[in-house]
Parts: sequence; structure tokens; C-alpha cells
Amino acid sequence: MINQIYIENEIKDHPRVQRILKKFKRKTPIYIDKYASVFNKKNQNFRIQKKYPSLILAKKKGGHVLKTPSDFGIGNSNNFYFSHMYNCLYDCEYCFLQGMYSSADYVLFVNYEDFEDGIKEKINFHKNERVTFFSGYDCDSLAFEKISGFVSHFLPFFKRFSNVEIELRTKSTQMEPLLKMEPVSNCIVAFSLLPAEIANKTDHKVPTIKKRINKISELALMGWKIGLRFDPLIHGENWKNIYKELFADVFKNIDKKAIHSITLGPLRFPKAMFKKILDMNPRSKLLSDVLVLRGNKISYTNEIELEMQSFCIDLLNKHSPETLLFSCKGNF
Amino acid sequence: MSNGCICWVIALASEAKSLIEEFKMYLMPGDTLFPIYKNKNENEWLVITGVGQLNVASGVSYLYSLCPYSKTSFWINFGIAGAGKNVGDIGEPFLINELRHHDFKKIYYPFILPNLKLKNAMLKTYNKPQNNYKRSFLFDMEGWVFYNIVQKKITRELIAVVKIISDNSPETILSINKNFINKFIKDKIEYLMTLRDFGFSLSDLETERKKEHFLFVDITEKFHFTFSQCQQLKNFLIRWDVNFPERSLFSEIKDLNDAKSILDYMESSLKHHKLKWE
Ligand code: SF4
Repeated sequence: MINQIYIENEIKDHPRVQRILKKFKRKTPIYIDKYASVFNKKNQNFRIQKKYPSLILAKKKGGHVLKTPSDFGIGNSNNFYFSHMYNCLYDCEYCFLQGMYSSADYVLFVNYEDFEDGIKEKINFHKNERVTFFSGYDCDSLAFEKISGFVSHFLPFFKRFSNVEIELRTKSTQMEPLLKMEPVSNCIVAFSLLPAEIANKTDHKVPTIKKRINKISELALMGWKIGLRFDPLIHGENWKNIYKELFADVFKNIDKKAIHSITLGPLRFPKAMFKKILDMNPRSKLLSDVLVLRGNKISYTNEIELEMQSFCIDLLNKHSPETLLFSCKGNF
Repeated sequence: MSNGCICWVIALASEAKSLIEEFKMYLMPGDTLFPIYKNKNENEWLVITGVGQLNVASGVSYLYSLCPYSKTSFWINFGIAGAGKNVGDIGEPFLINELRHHDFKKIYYPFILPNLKLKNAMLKTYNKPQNNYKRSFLFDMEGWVFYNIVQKKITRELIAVVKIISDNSPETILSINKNFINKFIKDKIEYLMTLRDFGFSLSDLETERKKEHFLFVDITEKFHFTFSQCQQLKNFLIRWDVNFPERSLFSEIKDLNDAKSILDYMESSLKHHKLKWE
């Protein structure tokens, strides 16, 4: 549910804005000069806003496409991300967006064409190289599709560049645009997964793990390339068994030939954001666990992290070829 | 019962009268800088500031210092306002969604409270009374200043500005008097009740989030904790609750007799605990 709609004056006549407004006929938008006059102000409460989020339609100026952290990738050496949206419909307790912004309002940048120009620039620069673009870094790539039309717009665009891959990162089961089109060979639909016992407690407003696995299986059968993202890895009593069950469940239901890549990532928070996240959600079970400061991040101890990583890698290698597996150290 | 609190900031006694009666508030005895009203439970407060920017600024700061729950209260500036002829009818209430000031560039966009059934409108605050009714917004002499001060002190989702149109033409301004104001506010009290209920629930959330653990004072009164040990204790107490809801910390630490041993005990228990997800 959208509480209020704000629109930057500069894009008020943009066709994409007009199309979105048709979906909210009963809302009277408020016109603003820049999205920052509503979004991410001092003294805002992420948790309260999360209950009643507003939608801000804005124009992204500059910084359309950015380099990912060095250890973030799925096989190619040139990795970029772009964020057409800030914030997410879902509410995961480990989500770093809660620490990054003080607002939970959704900012949707409607100038997709400027993102395309930024992407083309990078593609031209790396002409004969393999490049991966990641969407869903500051949002979920598919959850807001009915309003944003993001995937329907960008997949035909990416289809034109054969040396390039686009990863859509999601926890959504709203797959409408993908179910309607032929699989795009350079698109990876990457799903974040956790053992159901943990997800039930940490992933709020998110489709259950069972539903996610069913949807992955459906897409795999259609011929879409699938990414499996076990990120973050979450510790607790009996963690080995519940991860074992998760992997077994995933590989029982998903056609292995469809799996493009598997990544593992530790639970981590940038140091600067952790205090804010904890302050907003002091009674979170996940955040009450033993987390320590390591360099510029807050995470499990090195020992736990390594144990989880190697246990999961061993198990995953039994299910799928090693070459598909990538691990992210979680640097910021 | 809600743990929230409401702070009303109102310029005129005639604007406050119906609320004071309806919400059973009474005048605080003693020598106060502004008339301050509160209810028996002390979870609803009201200041009558007088008209104009200086008055509202001082009134807000005064109430903020007086009310023990001011940091987590829901703050409402309520009162009458003039409006352009086309904005609405006399007696019509509005939740303000945009605040401007005649002399300052800064624009505020207050958090919109959902499902209130109140229309939204822009309010512009002036230094002097206005009588230009060709405008497409509401105008007053306090709203922007109120918001400007309160947003520096508390989270913006806990601030609302609500105005009722008192005049929208040169003729209507002549009929404004105490009884008139009192009557049309009384007629619209149900809107304020809904706003107030919502305010209580948001303030409750914020109070809950900022609440100090019930054992914190007991423990720190008994033993000396340094500042950083206090921070550590606060953190451990919450984690203890989350991880060991069945265990009574108080009885477990009853034989320990200094801050360090209490913290060491808690830390070691927390460290060896594995989260149960099932
Ligand atoms: S789905 Fe991703 S972006 Fe959305 S709340 Fe969860 S972790 Fe954050």
C-alpha cells in the first residue's frame, strides 16, 4: 500500500510518471523540487515509514552505473550495478537499506533511458570483454514490477548485447514479465534463499521459501538461467541440518541445467550502519546474536564465518559443479 | 492501554476549549510560563501559546521541557486558519501535507498519516494576519514555525499540523469570535479523535523502541557502572530478553557484586548461546 505520492516537478510530465499515476487514481500527488526534500531527512524513523511507505517519483542525476565492490561477481571481471529504485517492498531484518537510509519510502527513478546511456557507455568501454550488470542492489528487482515496469523495459534492452549479462536479484514470486516472454539468454534471475526456519523469522512480507523454490523451478523449466544466492548465511542452533535440508530441497526441485551460478555470502553489516539498524530494531533475534567488529564490518566471528562457508561449499559441491560456485567475502 | 503520549500546541484558548473538555484535561497549577493542561494519566498535554511565531516557538520549547515523554510524544499543532475561497468551506478540517513560510525558502513535507479521512492541503505561515482570499492554500501565523522547531527534536513521523478553515472571504472574517470557533471545533472533534488515536499508537511504538530495560535502573543503582559499562549493560539486557525469555536475570546475578562481574556473566551466557530458529 502506498501512503502518499511525491513527484519531482522536473519529471511530472514524463510518460512513465503518467502511466504510474493511472494506477493510483485516488491519490493526489504532491509536487516537489527534489526527492531529497522528502527522502532521507534527519530525524526520520525507518520503522514507522516502513509501515506506511510513500512513493517518490524522481529523476536520477549522475552516478547511474557504478562499480560493484571488488569481491562481488559471478565469473566476469567487469561488474557494475545500477539502482533504478531505493528501498524495497519487503522487510528483511538483515537488510542494509535500513541502515543506509533513514526513510523507508520508495524512490523510483523514472529516467530509465539515462540508465541505459550509462550502461551503454560501460559496454562500449569494455567492448571485447565480458561484463555483468547487477540490478536489485538497493531494492528488489522484481517486487515492484507492476508499478515500475522495470524488467519489462530493461530486458529487451539487455538482449541486444551478447557480451553482457544482467542479473535480476529478487525474493519475489511476481514473475509476470518473465513468464510472458521467451527466456533471455544473457539474463540471470537470481533468488536469495535461506532455510525456511530462519526466513520465517527474518524475512517479513516476503514470499515463503517454498513459494520461491516453486517459482524458480517453474522459470528453470521455461529455460531461464537461474542464480542461487545463499546470502547471507545465518547461524544458529542446528544450522548444519537446516542448510543441508535447504540445499536438498533446492536441488530436488530445480533442474540443475538451468543453474547459472551459486553464490554464498556471510552475514555482514557495514560498521557505520549497524548501530542505526540495531537502534531501529533492538529486539531483533538476528541482531541479538554474537556479532563482532571486524575491520569496517560487523559480522559473526571469523571462526563461525569460515565454518559456515566451508560446510556449505562442501555440500553445494556435491550437488553441482564447482565452477558454478562463487563466494563473496562481504567487503564494503 | 497505550504507552504513547500526545502534546497539543494551540494558539488560542478558544481553539483549545473543546479539546480540553473532551479529553478531560485540567490546568496545571502553579506559576507556569504558558497555560499548560494535562490529563489525569499525564499522557496528554496541551499548551496555549498565544498567536504568532515567537509565541509558538517559546510555547513548544516550554512544553517540550515540561512533559516527561516529550521525546516520544506525538505532537499536534491544531488551530484555525484562513484559506482561499476555493480551498474549502468554513469549518472544514485539513491535515497539512506541505508547509511553507512567507519569509523562508525551506519547505517541509510532514508525514502523511494514512486513513484519517481528512483532506490534505498546503499551509503557508505569515508574520501578519492575511486577508487575500484568492490563494489556493491555507494560511496562518504558527504552523511552519511549530514544525520547524519540533522536527529538530523528535522524529518527523510524530508531528502533525491540522487546521480548520475559519475564514475564506472578507465577510467571513467578521464573524469569527470565541463562540463561533468553539462551536465549529466541537463539530469536528471526531476527526481530531481519530488523529489522536493514531498519534497514540505511533508514539507507543516510539516509546517501546526507546524504552529503557526495567532492570537497568535497579542494577545501576545497586552497583557503580561507568558510562561505557552502562551502554554495554543496556545492550546485554535487551539481548538477554530476546535470547533467554524464560530466564530470570535478577536471580542469576544476585550473588555478583560489581559491574564487571555482572557484565562478564551476561557476556559469557550470551556468547555460548546459539539462536534457536525453529
Ligand atoms: S528483499 Fe533484499 S532489498 Fe528487500 S528488504 Fe529484503 S534484503 Fe532488503
